[in-house]
Amino acid sequence: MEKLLEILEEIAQGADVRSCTTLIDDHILDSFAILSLVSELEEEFDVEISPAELIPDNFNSAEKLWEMICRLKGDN
Amino acid sequence: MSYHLLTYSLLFLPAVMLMYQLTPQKIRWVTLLVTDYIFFWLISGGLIIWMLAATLVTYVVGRVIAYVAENSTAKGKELVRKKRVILGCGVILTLGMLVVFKYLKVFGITFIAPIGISYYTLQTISYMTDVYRGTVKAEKHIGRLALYLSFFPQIMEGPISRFNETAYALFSGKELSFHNVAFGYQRILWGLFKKMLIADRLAPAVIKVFSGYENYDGSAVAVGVIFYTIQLYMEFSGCMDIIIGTGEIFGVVLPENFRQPFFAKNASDFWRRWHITLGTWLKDYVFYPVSLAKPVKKVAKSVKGKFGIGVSKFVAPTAALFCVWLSNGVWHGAGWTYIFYGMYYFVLIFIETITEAPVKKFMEQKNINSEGNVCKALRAVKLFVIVNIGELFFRATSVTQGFEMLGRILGKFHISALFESNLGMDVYDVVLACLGIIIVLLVDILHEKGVSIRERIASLRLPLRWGVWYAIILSVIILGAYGAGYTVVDMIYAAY
Repeated sequence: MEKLLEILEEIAQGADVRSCTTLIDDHILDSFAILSLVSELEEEFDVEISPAELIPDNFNSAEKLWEMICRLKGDN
Repeated sequence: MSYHLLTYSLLFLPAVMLMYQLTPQKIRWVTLLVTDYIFFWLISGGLIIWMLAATLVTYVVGRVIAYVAENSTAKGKELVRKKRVILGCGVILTLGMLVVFKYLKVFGITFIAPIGISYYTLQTISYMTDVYRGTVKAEKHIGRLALYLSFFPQIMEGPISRFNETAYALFSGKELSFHNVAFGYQRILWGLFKKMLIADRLAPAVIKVFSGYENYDGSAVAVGVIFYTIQLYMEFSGCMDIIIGTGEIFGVVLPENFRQPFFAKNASDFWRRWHITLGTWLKDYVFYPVSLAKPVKKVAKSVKGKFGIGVSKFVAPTAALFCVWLSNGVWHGAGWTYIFYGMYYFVLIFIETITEAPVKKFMEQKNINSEGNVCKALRAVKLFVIVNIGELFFRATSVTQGFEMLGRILGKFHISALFESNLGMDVYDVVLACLGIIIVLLVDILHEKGVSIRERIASLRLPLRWGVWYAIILSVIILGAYGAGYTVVDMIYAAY
């Protein structure tokens, strides 16, 4: 989780990524930022994120992102 | 039948509301479905068959994907491959119909396209893809799916909605309420105000300038282009008000298509506020799939190895951005002007993306406040110029004409000649159009600040409240662009 927060902090600079639950709804992460994030997450956690996963529910908070990563790791 | 005609809001809509309310709640969705098909028949006649064909294909594909997902012995990648093949067949079939009707004319083969085909085709693709992705459950009743695909307010100009956004509200058969009917009709009235009072009043000048730009000074051509941009905004957003207002009457919240686009910070932000549902559709069904496609990732990886992450991080988004803007241009029609329009925004947004970080750094170094009033004003002017150049090419009959008009604006601009130009508008027209534009601008400013104007008006005392609405009703009736010299201007985006 700490590694995920580090990545998020680097991409969503200036945002309080630890407590924010509206990263997508408040446009903190735009589509370019989401792609950078996906690429970093795939590399760091060795998961494959498909377009179907790119929904606000999975990207709105660090917690939701972590849940998605754990689920994808379980699928592998 | 068209949304901006009074026969729609004063005859058709009340008749539908009456029938809807008299029908038992359980089968109200059937009333809406029958209305949809009558409406579609009125605007497209026998071409309704293509709508039925697209609905059938979408239904079958959705059901087959769901069946395979539940019953197939295949697992993992094999299951995904199977589902992808079915989805591919569905997309080829529905997209194929769109291609036949809209793009074969490039080869001299012309068909009359069913109105709304560009909109409902995108809805068929989003539905099938969402079932494939597992974010939407395949609808078991073909009639209900047909209702989602053909809801009559949306069919001509969108907004392009997703199944999860509107379908369940459509199926619920919610009773008409005073609040919904009042708010819905208020929104319709606001749309008529924009369309009849401003857009249609500017239309004659736009037609004159674009069809005879050679006869005008650059200043008049510039005014014609600005008028077109304003006309398009008032027209399209006005029609959206009528459409969304109609949905509101039946308790269906349709997605917004505009959010004060001229207050955007840059071109990317503009497209998050202008024709929003097309932008989000392209983002979800073109941008992300292309960016995450294996060949694109492979290229990005090899670029990373050679040039580092600073360069490689742009590979996937740029490839996807190119596909998005090509699709955006082509979606509007089979013309080079539309492709040029798409590529124009591709280049602009690409430049904005790669220069964002250096510009930010430069501003910080020079201690320039990017949120100061001067910067904001310069940004607004820059965006207005960018949008107008884009619309110039969008409206021009050819790219050459677009460049000739632009050349005239830049090379033969004499402000004094403007007052001698005959743009087909008298002082009365200009004053009324300007007044209307100022009112819309003020409303947009309030919306940008998060003020709900209808709620505010609803909280006023009765005489004042009705005073406001009567003023708008009378302005549409008395000051709308009717009578000699005017013809009813067709909805621009219904042609796409």
